Amino acid sequence: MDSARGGVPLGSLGGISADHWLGVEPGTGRDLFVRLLYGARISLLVALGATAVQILVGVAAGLAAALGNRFAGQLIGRLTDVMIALPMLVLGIALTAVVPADFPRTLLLILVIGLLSWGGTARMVRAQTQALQGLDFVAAARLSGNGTLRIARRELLPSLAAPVITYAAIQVPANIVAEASLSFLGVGVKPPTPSWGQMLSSAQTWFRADPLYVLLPAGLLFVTVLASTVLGDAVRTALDPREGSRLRIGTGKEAAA
Amino acid sequence: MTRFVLGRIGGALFVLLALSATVYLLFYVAPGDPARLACGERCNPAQVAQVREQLGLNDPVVVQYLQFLQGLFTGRDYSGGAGLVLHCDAPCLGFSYQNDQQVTGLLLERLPATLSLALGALVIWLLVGVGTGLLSALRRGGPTERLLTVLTLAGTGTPVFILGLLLLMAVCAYLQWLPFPTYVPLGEDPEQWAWNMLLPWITLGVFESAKYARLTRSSTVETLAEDHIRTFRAYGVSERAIVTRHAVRGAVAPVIALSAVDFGTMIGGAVLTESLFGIPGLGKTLIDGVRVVDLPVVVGVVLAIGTAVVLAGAVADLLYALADRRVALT
Repeated sequence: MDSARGGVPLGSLGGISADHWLGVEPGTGRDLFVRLLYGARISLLVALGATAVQILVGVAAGLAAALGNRFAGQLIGRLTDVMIALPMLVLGIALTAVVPADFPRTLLLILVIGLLSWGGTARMVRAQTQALQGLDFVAAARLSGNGTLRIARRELLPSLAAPVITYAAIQVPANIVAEASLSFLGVGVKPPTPSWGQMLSSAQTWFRADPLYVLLPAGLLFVTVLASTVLGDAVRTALDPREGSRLRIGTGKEAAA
Repeated sequence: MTRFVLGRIGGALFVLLALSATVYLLFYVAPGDPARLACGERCNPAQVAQVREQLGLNDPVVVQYLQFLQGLFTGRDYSGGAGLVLHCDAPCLGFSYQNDQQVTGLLLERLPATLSLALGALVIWLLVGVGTGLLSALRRGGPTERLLTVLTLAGTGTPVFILGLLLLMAVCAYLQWLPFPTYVPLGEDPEQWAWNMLLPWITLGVFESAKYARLTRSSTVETLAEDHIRTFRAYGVSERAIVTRHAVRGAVAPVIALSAVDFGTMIGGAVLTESLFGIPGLGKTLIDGVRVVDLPVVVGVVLAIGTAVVLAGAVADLLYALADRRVALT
């Protein structure tokens, strides 16, 4: 650490050495490798948690819209449209302003991202449920005297598994980006907890002095998003309803959980 | 037609009303003490009480919201205490005590920067995105298409600020072709304005292009399967002319519609690009408002952005119907 030059790491390539595999963070001298690893934990935890929240709310809202009476269906349908139309990032930023500062940030991020982006899931579940309700096995279940809730649990939910899992897998990369964006803007996790987006934000001032500090988090974020996009695509191909014989819910569940 | 337009406008109004009510409740009623927040941290209890009285925070929630709506449509007065009356013209979004300015005025001041960013990006994504999409539709099955598919896949997922950061680093820090951008208003110096906006335009435009390339390609390829294209082929029209002159028409309507939506989102949603390049637009105003917990500004920006998005959605529907007459206005 060269304090005379404002904390630029000593040594080449941001101070790579046997002690610090990827060098140290300029200014603070924290180990970059460790911070990148912990950053991955935050990114993935928030992305997966937010996906879980948004799938839960979305499935509940979608089922309620399809199974409820006309008024409830209209209301939830409208609400879903509103949720889809609104820019998630903007509302997310705004929400972080009003939540008390001592609320755990990771949980806040999960809730904000999850609760603002369930619209797509709800719309999809609603459409699928309405299609399923016209099928014979649902009619048979209703004729044998089952209640709406029981039909939802026993007949509809299992049939909804494939499209919902596919949707969840596709949402994961989007949520990784959402977390990185919020952290980049400084409304995500608070330092010293690291997150890739937040590291990129502080790396802006170290362009010339330590290019690796920019390139490493950027590269990791890029690769993670790309990998989960490809994974989501694979899950979709595997679970495509038109290719029923290739239904492999087991693998899909691992991918989506 | 009239029925369709009226229906859309009605829907848009409903969404805006719902949005304003939600935002209002969330930000003014639920957490913390808005009076203290509006007043800033250095206020003593007497001042806070005064601000609370001025903001009408002692009234019931519904009354407050109705007053807020009234302010939006007809303007309202704030009693500034000691006989002082602050008048706020319609559309009144409240008063930012920290900027010592009315929120509406503040937003109008910031709008040109956002508009110049969004317009430039629009031009780039239409050129690059549609061009790329056409090229990959023309070279179906070839290595060019595979390369373009990989590029667009990578482009749609990556956060916009990675592209921006890398561009800044390469162009400004290492190659030093351009100085680090600072925003210069168009009215002051058009040449400097364009040079300084170049990197933000490229960043946002290229980032959005990936989506448009995919859309253009899929709509073009879809049209290629239709009967009239088969007839063109039978007449011996070249593949190039078929794709670039006839099949591309299938892409016009969806591209226009999506552009309208994206443009609307960008009016407020380009928060990342604006904050990365320091462009003083609406997105930056929102982030700054959040940093200093200036609630009237945050509420104002969210409502303005929501309005832009909802209007853009309605415009997109109309444009779509106008560009593709097969979509009967239902």
